[in-house]
Amino acid sequence: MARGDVEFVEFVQASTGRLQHAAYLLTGDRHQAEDDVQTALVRVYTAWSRIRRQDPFAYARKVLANLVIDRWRRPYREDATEELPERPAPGDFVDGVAVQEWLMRALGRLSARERAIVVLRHFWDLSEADVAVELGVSVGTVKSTASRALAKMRMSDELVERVS
Amino acid sequence: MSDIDRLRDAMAEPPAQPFAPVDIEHVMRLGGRRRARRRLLTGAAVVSAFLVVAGSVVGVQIFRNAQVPASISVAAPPPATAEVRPFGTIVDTGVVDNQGHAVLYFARVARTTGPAGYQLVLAHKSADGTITPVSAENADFTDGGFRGVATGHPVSFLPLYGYFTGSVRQFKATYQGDELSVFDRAVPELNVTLFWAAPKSSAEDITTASVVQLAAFDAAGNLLANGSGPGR
Repeated sequence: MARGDVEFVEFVQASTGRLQHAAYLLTGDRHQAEDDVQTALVRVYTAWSRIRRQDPFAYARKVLANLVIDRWRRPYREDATEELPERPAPGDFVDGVAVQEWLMRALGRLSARERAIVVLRHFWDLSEADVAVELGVSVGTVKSTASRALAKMRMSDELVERVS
Repeated sequence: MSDIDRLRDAMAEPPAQPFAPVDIEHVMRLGGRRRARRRLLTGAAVVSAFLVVAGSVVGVQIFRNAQVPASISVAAPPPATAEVRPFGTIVDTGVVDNQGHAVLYFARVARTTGPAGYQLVLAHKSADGTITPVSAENADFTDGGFRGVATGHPVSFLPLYGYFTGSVRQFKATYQGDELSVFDRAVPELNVTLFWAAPKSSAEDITTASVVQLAAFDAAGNLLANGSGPGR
């Protein structure tokens, strides 16, 4: 295995957990998150020789966020099914699980871009300027979108109740 | 604790169920294919760009070659007489030789029978303004295109001159594969354009027997329909 490949394997082992967690926050779907992380890592490997000496994690994060936003831009395709998905009954979870559940519900109220900005700002703790660079938008757009997103989330009394 | 802090804590909370591990080999296999495909596309793009540029260059070359001017034999103008009087513009070619500036002009010539005609005259203009004709040839304005193509050699350093009847913007002259610098000056009184080539070492041996390729182009750079015909 080439030296670059060894470094890539080490990178995957070190970063996958956090990328999957972020992908889950971005998508709200566990399987979709796993798929998105795999796709992002494929793209990272494609550019590995170019980015390995820079900041591969930042590259992976950027690819992941844009992947989710780009999918949201594409026409939505819905497959009809006769089976209704299982709906969790409120109050059936231990605290941590309940917080996750309600967090997902609050994030679910956001558009893909709003969600990406919230995740980049508050999960990855990036500055507004860094978020703007990663998503290729202006700082003003980041500010206004983040503000709108948080307002939407605050409208969810359930979230406030559950996380407080 | 603010709403933001609570949100950050909630987001930092690890998911209850672990995610499936990433199949690194699969990722590397797909990434390797994608990388190879990209390199192929990049290579193809470079080759395509090269072909487009090369094709354009070759196309322009072919187009230019298609416009190869016709070969024109340089005439030996008959000697002029001192009685030839200038008509209209006297054009200074900027070529200076031992006798003065080489100038070109048309002269109106009275004929014993029929209407008056014109002659294209090569003359020397001295420092005091005296014009001494060197050679003159009957001019014909009935048909468009190159006319009166001649050389000033050996009496003048002017290697080539003549006139073009009709609208023209640019000339091109090639002698033995070497392009000459061609200047021109319109003579509005007669609706013709005088042209001449600047002296050049490679054009010093132009004689009355030499063959020079001439071409005339319009403002858009297109070869004129009558822009490559023989002048004589």
